[in-house]
Amino acid sequence: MADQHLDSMSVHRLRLIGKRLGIKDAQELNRAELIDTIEEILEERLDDRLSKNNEVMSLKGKKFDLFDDLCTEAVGEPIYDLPHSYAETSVHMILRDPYWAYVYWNINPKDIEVIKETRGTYSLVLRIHEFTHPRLPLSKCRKSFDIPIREEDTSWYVNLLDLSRWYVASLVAQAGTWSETLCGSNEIYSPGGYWMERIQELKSDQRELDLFHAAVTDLSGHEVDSVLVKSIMEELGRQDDKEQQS
Amino acid sequence: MSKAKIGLVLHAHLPFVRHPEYPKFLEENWFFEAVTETYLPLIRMFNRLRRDEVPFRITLSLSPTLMTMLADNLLKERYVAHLERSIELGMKEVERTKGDPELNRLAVFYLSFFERTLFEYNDIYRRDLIKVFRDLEAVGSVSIITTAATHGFLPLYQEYPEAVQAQIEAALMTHVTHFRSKPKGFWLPDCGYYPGLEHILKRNDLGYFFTASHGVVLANHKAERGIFAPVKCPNGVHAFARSYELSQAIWSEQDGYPADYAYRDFYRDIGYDLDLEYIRPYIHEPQVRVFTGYKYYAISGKKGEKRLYNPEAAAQRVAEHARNFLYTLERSSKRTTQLVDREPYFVIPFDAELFGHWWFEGPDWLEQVIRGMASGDELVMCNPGEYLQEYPDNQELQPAFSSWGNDGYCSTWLDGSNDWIYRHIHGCIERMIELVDRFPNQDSLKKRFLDHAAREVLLMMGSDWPFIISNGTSMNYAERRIREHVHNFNIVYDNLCRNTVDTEWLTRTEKKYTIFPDIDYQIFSRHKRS
Repeated sequence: MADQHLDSMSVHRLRLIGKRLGIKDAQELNRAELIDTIEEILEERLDDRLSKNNEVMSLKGKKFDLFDDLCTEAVGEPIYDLPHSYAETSVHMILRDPYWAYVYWNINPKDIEVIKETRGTYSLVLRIHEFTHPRLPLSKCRKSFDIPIREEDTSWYVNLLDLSRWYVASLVAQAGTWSETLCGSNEIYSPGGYWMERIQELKSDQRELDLFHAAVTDLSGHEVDSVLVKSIMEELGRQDDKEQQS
Repeated sequence: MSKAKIGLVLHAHLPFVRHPEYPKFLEENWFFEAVTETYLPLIRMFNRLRRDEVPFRITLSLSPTLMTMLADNLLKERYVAHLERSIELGMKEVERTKGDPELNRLAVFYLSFFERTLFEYNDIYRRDLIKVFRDLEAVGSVSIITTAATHGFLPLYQEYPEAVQAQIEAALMTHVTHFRSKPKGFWLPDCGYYPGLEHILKRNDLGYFFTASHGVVLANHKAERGIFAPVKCPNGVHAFARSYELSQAIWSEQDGYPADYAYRDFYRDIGYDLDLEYIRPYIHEPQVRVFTGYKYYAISGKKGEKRLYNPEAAAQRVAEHARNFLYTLERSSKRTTQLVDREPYFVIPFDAELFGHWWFEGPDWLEQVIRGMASGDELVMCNPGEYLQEYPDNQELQPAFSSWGNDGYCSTWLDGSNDWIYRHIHGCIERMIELVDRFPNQDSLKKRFLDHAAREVLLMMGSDWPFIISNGTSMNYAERRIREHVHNFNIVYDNLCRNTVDTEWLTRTEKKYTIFPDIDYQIFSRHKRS
């Protein structure tokens, strides 16, 4: 499908596509080489895409599957620039899944100027605070850890170490013994769930186990796409193995 | 004998794509293909069931963006023109293939399919599919619900309850405009749920929603009936969990029914297969090959030459697959009856566009399943509303954060390819809330500006854009849309901050984005959050 598509394009267009795909020597390749290399990359990208999709998402994609996107740059349509920043110092946390949060931030250049003027050399850290209860002040956190960041960084994926905990991120400027919290984020909760903490109980109660299996596995035994379900199933499997061995 | 209850849910949604500034626009084909291959075939099926007095119950979620497009005159005109082009191509195909009887039979098959579609759309339904759905709801077979205004994936906006409220309020407004009454239930886009969302649903008089199965079984307490009965959130709103096991029989791209070798292949299409000069008038200008709907091959196998599609052989497989699904349902029902203390309720939701668009034979399969349930005595179709009337008392339980997306949470809509969008969307939401605070009681021109700002924020929140970016199809378009909505919103914001208004720009932009014509910017008010 793609080869006919690419065949109909000018070398100039193929080079543009090659550049977008990250082919370093796109300008030097001839037409046939360009088509071969582009096809190879497109194939890999498709495989990547399909392999990371679960069934629902994979089929959902068909709805939008009209054409090969790389070949359809609309001519003359403006591509609007996005604001470089929103002139404020703020940090936000978004829970992506029970173990990962996406943290993005923005530092008002004026705040940086003030720090530079008063403190000279400084460093920045993203501090992740973990709580056992919601809405506590930062000082009451159960534990925290720092991620050094650079001035040009604007986001980070943060691994949440424990389930069933609340998390807040803050941006901290440091210089020598001095440090200042520039801003704090919203609070997020990393869910665990009843059975995550009671896998043994689940295993010992046949009715509960049957209900659980009937909810999260299909007819071929594949489980629902959820990291927590997978870890419960793995733990159940491990316990089964242990029992068999003993 | 106690019967298992089956809740079939079809969720129909497309993003708002309407480009009056171009004579033809590639991504409008999403809508045209879905009307031809999914919505009209489903309507045809519903009508056949009614004609034969087959009792059935289906919950149909129609997204506000889709409803708006179905009712839009420009898109109606363009859809008819699209069908006319398909018919013209069909005539050429019948001529081209006349030396090959098998191929010719398929060309005739598709030509008559498109002719029939045009006839029904124009002459039977008078281009008003919303009315058809309204009539189906009036007779009680189809229960119509709504979803978030632009299909925003709500867990990513939980920091902004004002924005979630706006998504729900604008959705209800659109629903009432088209259906004249409020829906009882709500489809959370991609089953995306976070604890606390039920408060906003309740505030909007919505009684139930649907979750992924792990949203219920991974709750903070035991779900006494697993996923085989709804649970009641502490505030009284009910959550119905999806039956993963039964959905998967159809969803699976590798093992599901739609992957059967006898079924029509989705990808092989003459838009890609035939000589460019021949097909050029029916693809996208200047020469972007697209699907034309003329697909002559069956899935056939994983490798090797494709066989020609044989509608009779496919129909035979449809019957076998429908029987197999009914058998699976009955078996699951028998097994589950021993686990729970009342008739189990199996909720089986699908994206409607699966049926017909990707799985061409899907509507026929669905029809046979429904007929099988109606003629048997072990399964009964039941909508969530009816279920709650029969069983108003359900276990109180707080469902857990979940979705039916990759990894069961947010990673489809929040990954390395699309995460950059959130700082801008969140930034615009914050500014929108600020505008509502600063301009609490505006009317006339300034209100028009503020209303349009609210419209732009809703449009940028659509889950389709990050999904498309992550999935790699139409990335250019999705990225452009996000950028355009952010840009447009910031024009309004800057204008209002400077106390100036560019009415020419506003009028032009309102004409382009005709969705939510009665929007009131106050839907983003922070007073609505509590």
